Amino acid sequence: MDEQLHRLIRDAKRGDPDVFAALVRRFKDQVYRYAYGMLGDTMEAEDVSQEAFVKCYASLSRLESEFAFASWLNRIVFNLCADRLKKRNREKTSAASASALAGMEQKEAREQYLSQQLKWSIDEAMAQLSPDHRQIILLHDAQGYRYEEIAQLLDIPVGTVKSRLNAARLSLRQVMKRGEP
Amino acid sequence: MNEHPTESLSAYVDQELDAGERNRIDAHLLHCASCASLVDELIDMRAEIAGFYGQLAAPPDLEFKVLATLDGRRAKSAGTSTGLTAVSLVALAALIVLISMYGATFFKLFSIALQFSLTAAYVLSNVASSIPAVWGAVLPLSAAIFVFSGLSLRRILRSTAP
Repeated sequence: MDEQLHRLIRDAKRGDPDVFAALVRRFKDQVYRYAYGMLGDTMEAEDVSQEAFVKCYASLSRLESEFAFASWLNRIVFNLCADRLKKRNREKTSAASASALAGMEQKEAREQYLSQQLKWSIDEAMAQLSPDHRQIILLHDAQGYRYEEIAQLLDIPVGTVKSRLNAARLSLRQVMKRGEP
Repeated sequence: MNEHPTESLSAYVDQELDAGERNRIDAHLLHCASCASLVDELIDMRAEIAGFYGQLAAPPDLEFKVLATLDGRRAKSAGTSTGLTAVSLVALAALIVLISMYGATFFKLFSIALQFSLTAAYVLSNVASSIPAVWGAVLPLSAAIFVFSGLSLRRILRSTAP
C-alpha cells in the first residue's frame, strides 16, 4: 500500500466526507467489479457498492490498521453480496412454487439461447458457479490477490485457497464448454 | 511422474508452487500433451477473466450517490435528535408544572413510599440473615442479577457506539 493511500485512509477515519469521497473514487471500480462478479447484475452491483461504502464510512473509525483497509472493504462487499444471494434464493424458491410453469418455459428458452452459442461467455459461466468458487476466482483473477492474501482475507489455509481455486477454474472451464459444473 | 498433477496445475500457472513441485510439473509437461493443453487453457481463461472484469467500471457518479446517502442519513439523525430534545423539553416543562401544582402531595407520597421501602428492606434482610437457606438463595440470585445487568449494559453501549 502506498503512503498516499495510507494517509488518505487515516484522514478519512477522522470523518471528513470530502476525503472519504476520494477514497470511494479510488476503490469504487474494485468494489463494483467484485459485486458484479458475485451478483451478475449491474443494478444490484451498484446498490451493493453504494451500501458497502456507506457501511464503510459508518465503521471506518473502528478499523484498527490502515493496511487492512482493502481486505476489510472486500469482506463488507462479500457479506452484502452473500445477503443478496440468500434473499434471491428465498425469493426464487417462493416464486418457483407460484409460477413453476412460467419458470420452466423461461429456463427452456434460456437453455435454447445458450445452446445456440458456441460457448458461454465468462459472465454467463461465472453465474453457474457456486458463490465460493465465484469469490475465489474474482479475488485472484479479477482483483489480483496472491494465495497468501486470499487465505488471510477468507481466513482459510493457503492449501484450501489452492485447491478451491483449482476446483473453481476446472468447473468454470467445464461450464464454458457448455457442460454442467 | 505418471499421474496427472491436475490438482496443482492452477497453482502452477499462478506461480504459487515451490521450486521442487514446479520442477516436477515442468518435467511432467514435457511428456504430457493433455496437461500441457490444460495449462494453456487455464492461462487463456485467467487472461479472459482479468480482461472481462478489468473493463468493468463503476458508475462515474457513485461517490456522489454515496455522499448524498450519507448526507441524508446525517440529516435524518439530526432531525431525530432535535425531535428527541424537543420531547425532553416538553416533558421537563410538564414535570415542573405538576410539581408546582401537586408538589406537597408528591412529597408526602414519596416519604410514605420511602419509609415503607426501608421497613421492607429491614424486615427482608433480617429474615434472610436469620434463615441460612434464604440467605443462600438470595446471594447467588443477587450475583446473577448483577452479572446480567453488567452484560446487558455492555451490549447496549456496544450497539449504540458509532
